[in-house]
Amino acid sequence: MELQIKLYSDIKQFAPGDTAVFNLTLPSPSTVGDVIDILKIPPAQAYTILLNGRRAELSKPIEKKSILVILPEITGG
Amino acid sequence: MHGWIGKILRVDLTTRTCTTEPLDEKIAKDYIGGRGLGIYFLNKEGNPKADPLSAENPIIMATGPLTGTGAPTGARYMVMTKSPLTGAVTCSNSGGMFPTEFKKAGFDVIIFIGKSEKPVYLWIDQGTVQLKDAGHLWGKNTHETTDLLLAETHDRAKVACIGPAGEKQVLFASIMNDKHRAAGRSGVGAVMGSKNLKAVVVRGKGRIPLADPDRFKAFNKSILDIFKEGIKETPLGLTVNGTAGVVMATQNFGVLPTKNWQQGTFDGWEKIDGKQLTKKYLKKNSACYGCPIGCGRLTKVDDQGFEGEGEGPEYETVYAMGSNCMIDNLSAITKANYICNEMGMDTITMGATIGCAMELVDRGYLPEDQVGRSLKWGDAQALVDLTLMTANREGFGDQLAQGSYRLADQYGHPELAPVSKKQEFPGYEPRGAQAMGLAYATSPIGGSHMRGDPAYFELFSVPKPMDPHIWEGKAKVTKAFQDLSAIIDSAGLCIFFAVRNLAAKDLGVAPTGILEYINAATGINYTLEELMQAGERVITAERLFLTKAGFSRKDDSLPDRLTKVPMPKGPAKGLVCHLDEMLDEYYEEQNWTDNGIPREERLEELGLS
Repeated sequence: MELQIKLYSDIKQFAPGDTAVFNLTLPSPSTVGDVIDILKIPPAQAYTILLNGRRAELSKPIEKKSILVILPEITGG
Repeated sequence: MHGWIGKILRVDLTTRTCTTEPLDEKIAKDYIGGRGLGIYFLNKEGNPKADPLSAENPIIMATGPLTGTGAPTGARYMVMTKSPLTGAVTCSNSGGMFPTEFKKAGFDVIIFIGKSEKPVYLWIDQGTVQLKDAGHLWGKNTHETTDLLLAETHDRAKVACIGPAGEKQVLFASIMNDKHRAAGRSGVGAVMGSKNLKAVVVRGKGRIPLADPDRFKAFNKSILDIFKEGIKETPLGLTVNGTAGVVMATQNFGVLPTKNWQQGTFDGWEKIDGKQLTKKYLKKNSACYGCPIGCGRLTKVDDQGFEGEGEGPEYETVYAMGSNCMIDNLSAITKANYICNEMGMDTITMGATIGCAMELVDRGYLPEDQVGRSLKWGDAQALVDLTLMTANREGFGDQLAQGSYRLADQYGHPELAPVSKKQEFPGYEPRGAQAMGLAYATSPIGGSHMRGDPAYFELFSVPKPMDPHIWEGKAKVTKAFQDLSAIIDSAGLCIFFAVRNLAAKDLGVAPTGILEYINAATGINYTLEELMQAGERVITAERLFLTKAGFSRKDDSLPDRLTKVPMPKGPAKGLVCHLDEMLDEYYEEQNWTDNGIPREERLEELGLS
């Protein structure tokens, strides 16, 4: 199945190509943690992970046509 | 005393007399400083029913026991008075260099009472106090005023002042210090203006006396070592892109307020994000006294029509003047921010009021001939022009100067104002961040995120993440963050460092690190329970003021569009904010009645009865 991935800030360096927004083909079933492993993102840097706009744990299964966003540490206001 | 100076300055503007009095040690311990001492003196000397812009309303400026001590971000002071925008308390605070100098000049607290017949400023030179004529400064903007005051007092003095907006009593006028830092919210600048008090100028000497300098120094080193280690691999987002870096997070969570709070995502978000600000306009970072983060942005804009130089914008400004008005022009947002700083106005209320006016026009409730120009969504030039007109109360600016609630009410649609207690919200949509809605509704100052900031656990995963879409269990955690904020605000610290580095790493956020700093500084030896209770005392004392002013559950509210209208699109699509359910739990946590009034037994526990 295909998953759209959006990486931001320093996490962009883990994108396989030149663009921080890309598609990844995954075996089914796969979890959020599998994607982090495939992209070799150190877990401490994948500060906030959103699957279809919702917070997702590493164990969360990925469904078809999902969008996965990985955000770095951010604070402010 | 240690940590505290032990002195209060009382300035009677009516009689032009200044007197000093000692700071009572028990009161200092019970209320800590800053926000706590502010509400203690406002309750003692203010009248909750007073007209905020009358001589009857005192205005209190207070530092905390950690202000100026060298504790990281110990740079802040608090302005407490009855707000002309909300009728509630203000709690408007600021950092920079002024608060440290204020304390070193010889006082923990300044209480201004009465009203001067003519414009004056207060000059404190190493403990010597004078009220001086400010006739020649009236009408000058905050930058001109600061330069003139430094020239006529001392070039190393620090200045807090109002601009033309404060003089003209714009209901959300700010007090600016060090030119660019703002005690921004709730109209504290209008209260100064109503008293003909143009500025406070301070020059200090020496160091703040610490009870146990060795213990303080050793703890400080351990905290800073941990902080520096933590940012070795990944620099702190606040340092790299400032607070405006948050746009990326709120957009992706679907909680970036857009089109006057009608939706939570903005197509043009990448044009106004902190990364763009860094790339296009940042000259260098700036930091407040003792701050290892440096989130301030010294910026310069050369784009035609919006040229300028100054500080900002912060995230809140970018939301209020950007996505909220459908404006993706960062140079215009930055220019409007500069105008607010120079004229002395709150950027959040300014942007949110213009956004509200845009919707009133869009829906046909406000004729454009009343505005005197076109006012469509996304009109960057209108943002800049109307901001300046508001500061001068010129034309339609005179109506905008009342804030969004009074404006929308005047045109028959108060429900379109994005406010709680008539104060405009900061930039986090409660439909997709439930606890934020509770924080807005129960904040003592109305719409604010700084009196307990759920964005930390809902969006930033600090100290641990909670699902922002769920309302269950949020009341208890929101109260814990509010208590922590009361302690941070009272100690003289900044939330940006303290929440991450000086509190327990669980959702109870006990102020463990702050405790060690305060005890080493003051020698008081608070227990953790005593310090946490002091935070609860501050919040309950503020609630008492509000209760006496007539506030209750009916005022702990959000507009219907957040509680009844489902989010139309984005990651939070279909959600509403479950405020009522959270409020029931919240009052129980506080031991307040169903109507939001502190119970007598609670007041007794906290020594407030």
